[in-house]
Formats: sequence, C-alpha cells, structure tokens
Amino acid sequence: MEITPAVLRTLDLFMGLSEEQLAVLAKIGRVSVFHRGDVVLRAGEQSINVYVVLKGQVEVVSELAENTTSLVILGAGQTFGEMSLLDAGPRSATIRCISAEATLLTFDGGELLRFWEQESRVGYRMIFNIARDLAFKLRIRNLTTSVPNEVMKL
Amino acid sequence: MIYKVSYVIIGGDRRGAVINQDHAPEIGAQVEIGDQLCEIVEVQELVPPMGDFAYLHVTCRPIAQPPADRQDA
Repeated sequence: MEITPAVLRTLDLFMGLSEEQLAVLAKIGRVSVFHRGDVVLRAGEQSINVYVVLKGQVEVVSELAENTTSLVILGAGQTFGEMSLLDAGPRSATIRCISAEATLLTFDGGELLRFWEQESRVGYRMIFNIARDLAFKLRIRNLTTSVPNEVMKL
Repeated sequence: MIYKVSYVIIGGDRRGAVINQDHAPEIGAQVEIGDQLCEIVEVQELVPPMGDFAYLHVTCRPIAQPPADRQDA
C-alpha cells in the first residue's frame, strides 16, 4: 500500500496539514501488515512509536494479573501509541490484530519528535489533533460509563 | 466528509469500536465490529464537525445472522 498525501488526508491525525507537510510525513511513515492474532505491541513495553490503522481492525486489551479485558476495537483511521509518545511511560495495553489482516502506518517516535522540533507548525497541529482524539475518546468513556454495567456489559 | 464513529454495543461481549468511514451510519443498518455483526439503533453527534471530519456516537445491538445488505464499518 503506497502512502500518499491523499491517503494521509483521510486520517484525522493529519488534519490541517499542507500537501507539502503530508508528503514529508508520508516518507517518514512505514507500512506494516499484521495477521489475525499478531501482537502489535504489548502492555509494559517501552517504546514511543505511534501507529495508525489504515485497514483492518485491532483490539486494545488490558491484561491485569490473570484478567484479560477487551477495551475497544480500533478500525481504519485510528491512532494508538500516542500516550507513550507524550508521557514516555510504558505501553498501557496490549494491541492485537483481530481481522484477517490489518495494515498499519508506523512512525518512529524519536523521528517524529525531531521532525516536530524542526517544523513546529506541524508539531502544533499534530499534537492538537492527538489532543482532540484523546478528548473524543474521553467523551465516549464518559458516555458509556454512565450506563449501568448490566446493560452495557462493560 | 469522513465520519469518525464510536460504536458501543449494548449487551455484547465487547465494549465497542472507533472507526473512520466515508459514509454516515444509519439506524437499522448493520455493521461488523470485530467478529460481531450488529444493528445500529441510535446515532448522535458527539461534537460539531471540524474540517472534513464529523464525530458521531452510535449505539448498536448484536444480531445473529449476517444479512445481505450489511455495511462494513
């Protein structure tokens, strides 16, 4: 799958960026293909790479003690790994491919941070987009946790 | 317009999903979330649109049989 500015324009992580800025980011990103059951990253790992789902679905899984809980499924357009990029903490959950195939766009976190340092307007826009995405997820969490568990089976 | 959609499954084994799609979700339509086929029962705007993106929250319920006209989310 070729990564072009047109592909990146469909992803809200890149909203508000120019054609030229998208072209540079398209060169920085790497495409990886995962298959059902593959672990993309594991809770507790130290890494700051950021991922965007281009195709397929992955599942965010919490593995505390012996309890494994499905938190959410992320489909096309969704970003993950951004928390560790922002706070340098370990991965908070495990990400597993649950579709027959999933195509991911991966950004080396260090390379991305250096690019943001050089191109601060790109950095501002992408961090704004990440913050907006986290706000979206928090709103969903507020909505769903207000519904009784016996109804939602959360 | 690109629709960033949060799907929550009522009574399902999974919490739900977040998916970007190029078509608006509609009540009565079917979507596949993980290995679960669901029917949409409610659609609401979560926040106002920004740029080319709309932000929606969808409630759906699991259904057993895959019909012919389902939407792949």
